[in-house]
Amino acid sequence: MKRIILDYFKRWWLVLSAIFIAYFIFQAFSVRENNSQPSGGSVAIVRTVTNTVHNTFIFQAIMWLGFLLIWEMQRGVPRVLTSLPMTPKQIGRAWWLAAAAFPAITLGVLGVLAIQFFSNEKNIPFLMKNYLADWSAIALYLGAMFGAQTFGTPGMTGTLSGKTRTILSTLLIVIVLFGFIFNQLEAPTLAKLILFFFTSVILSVLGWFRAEQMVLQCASFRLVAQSSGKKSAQHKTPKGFGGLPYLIQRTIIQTTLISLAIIAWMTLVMLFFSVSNGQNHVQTITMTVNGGLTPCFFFVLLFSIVPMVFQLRALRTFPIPSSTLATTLVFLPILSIAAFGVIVITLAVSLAGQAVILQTINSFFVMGAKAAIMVVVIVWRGMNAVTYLLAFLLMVADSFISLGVTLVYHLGSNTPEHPWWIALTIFLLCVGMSLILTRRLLTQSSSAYRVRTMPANAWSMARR
Amino acid sequence: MTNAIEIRGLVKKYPGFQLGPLDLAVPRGAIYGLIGPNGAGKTTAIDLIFGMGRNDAGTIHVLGLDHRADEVALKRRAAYVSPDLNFTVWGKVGKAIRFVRGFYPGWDDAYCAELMKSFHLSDTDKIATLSFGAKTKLSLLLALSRRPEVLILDEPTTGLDAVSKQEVFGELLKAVEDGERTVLISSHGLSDIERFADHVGMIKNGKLLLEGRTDEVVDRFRMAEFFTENGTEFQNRDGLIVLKRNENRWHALLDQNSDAHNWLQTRGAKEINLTRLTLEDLFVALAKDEEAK
Repeated sequence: MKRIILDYFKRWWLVLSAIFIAYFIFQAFSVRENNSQPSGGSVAIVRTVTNTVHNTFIFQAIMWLGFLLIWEMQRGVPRVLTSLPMTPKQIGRAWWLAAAAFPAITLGVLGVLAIQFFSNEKNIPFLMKNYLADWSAIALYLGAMFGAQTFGTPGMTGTLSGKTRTILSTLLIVIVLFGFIFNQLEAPTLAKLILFFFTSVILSVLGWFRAEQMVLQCASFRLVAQSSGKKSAQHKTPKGFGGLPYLIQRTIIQTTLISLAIIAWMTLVMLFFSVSNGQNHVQTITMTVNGGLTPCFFFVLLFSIVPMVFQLRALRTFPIPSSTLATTLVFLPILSIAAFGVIVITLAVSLAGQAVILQTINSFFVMGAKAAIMVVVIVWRGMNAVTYLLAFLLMVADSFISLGVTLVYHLGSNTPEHPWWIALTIFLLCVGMSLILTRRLLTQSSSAYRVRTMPANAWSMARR
Repeated sequence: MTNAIEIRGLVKKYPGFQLGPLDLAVPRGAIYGLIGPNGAGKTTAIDLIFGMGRNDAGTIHVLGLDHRADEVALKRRAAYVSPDLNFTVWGKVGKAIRFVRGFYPGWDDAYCAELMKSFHLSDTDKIATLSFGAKTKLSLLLALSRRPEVLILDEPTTGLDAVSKQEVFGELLKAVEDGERTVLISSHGLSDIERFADHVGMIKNGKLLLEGRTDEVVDRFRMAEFFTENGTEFQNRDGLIVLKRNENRWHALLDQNSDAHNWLQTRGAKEINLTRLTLEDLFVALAKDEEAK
């Protein structure tokens, strides 16, 4: 078990260290801020900084911490580990400790240390009480996320019960994730808090006992898949266009449908919250669009780029000029994001008025720029731990730039909206740079074509 | 006979490995087996033909087309098959076929249907649930259906059972029976290569050790077993590679095109017995010698 845990940390040490260090610095900053007595405009600016750092980095980092195990499975680790002289129970429980318990304990210890070192021995009981509540939510989220993953199925099977199970298990992960997000977004009522607490505790405990099943399922995926019966050969001449136009059409339709499902789900949940908080539907939809666009755009980005990268070797053997391939790689996620943005604007404007338009356009330009950079990173690095770290940093980068702009030009005020022309300029620069670099990587480097993790070993695009 | 593939002075450097300088000529209409151990540079050489990475020196021509200047034209006429090609993201076999078919105006639908039948594949099969061998067959089907003039296969028999290997090679032989198509096949399944390839090239540590017609290459070398009486020592020399010694009994690889046989006799070797080698024996002997160097 010890070796499995160490192996996990060895592979993710860079990501984990970055999160732990950032978390400690943030806690230290929060403790000092809580114990100081600022005056005048500095109160607002300190709050802006604290909230921005928390919402765009710390909170999201912890959120993604719950997903590290899924990425382990995507890399086919269960299959490798089950061939070692260990039982699946030992492997599963080692993962429970490595992915849920130890990170939670480490974060807890770091928070307590921050209070001890930076509180100047003032208000320690108060700070501890507040911190315990925050930390409990994090620990329960990590435990619940692990527990939810143990119900996951490694692939969509053909039977109705198999499909139902896959959908329900995915829904459970989404519920845990959104439960954590909404618990952070607003102060929950006592009833909701109790519900969150008990659900998380039950899932965390179940995770410990079901860890073995999770390992077995993920490791035996290919064997299960191959057991399907042989059918007689059937072939009909394909109708319609093929090649790159077919790739583009298929990717845009798939990503748009997935994103619409996500945003519809978020809207429903937000409407559920707004009923209890007395908000009207316009406020709710505007809030959902504002808050939900970035994660949705990010999903679009992943679902459009990753399948391209997995088949890059095949694409390179087709008669496509390298410049066309680079252009497709760069513009496919951008077009997917644009298609989704247009639908969101159309729906949201009719429901909530024109207030959402500027936000959506700005989000599109910013995410488009990020998508362009991400293409370069993925073609350059493949799908490894450093890529995930860079993706995360890229995702939160604009929030820190906004924070810098706020600090320099609008001291004490809320973070301003980006003027659209700044976002457009950044977008154009990033796209131009990405086109040049991607083409160069495609023609000069051979590392882009080395075989990467097969996504078929876990919850993945293969399911679609 | 003109060459379908001509590689001259090809060099690609990586940290800790260098491919080449490599010269390789694949005659038009031939089945050329490129053999070598893992990490020899076979895949690197093939990747460079298709522009996956840039060579540091040398030239590659396929059907007279430069691999960089005429990249698209070359890829229209040459196809690549490998178990590494990933079509899983397309979900079903039929969708992958529709996608690939779109790149080739000369796609042969009737032949594609015929191949589907002989490879036991169906439009509705999920690619993710296909066995490893079936994925290779899909890759071959997608390549053959476009009727390429040059077919390049990288380790196509890896993971295939004996029956599947026969099916794959059967289709390959059918594809080249008109004498117009050329196949370059890289493999470490030496018995398959010996049976199907009419030309062979041996590569090790990025260098081509030997190249020629398969029958001529195999005929050229013999395993020499001989004895010595007075403690004479034999070292490797041109045309002779000492493989094993058991007191006075020696085993060596002998090149019949050299004067090694006469040299052995003049040095006092007794009862020289020459036996025919398989391609595998020959490859192992040459590879060991290269390793020793």
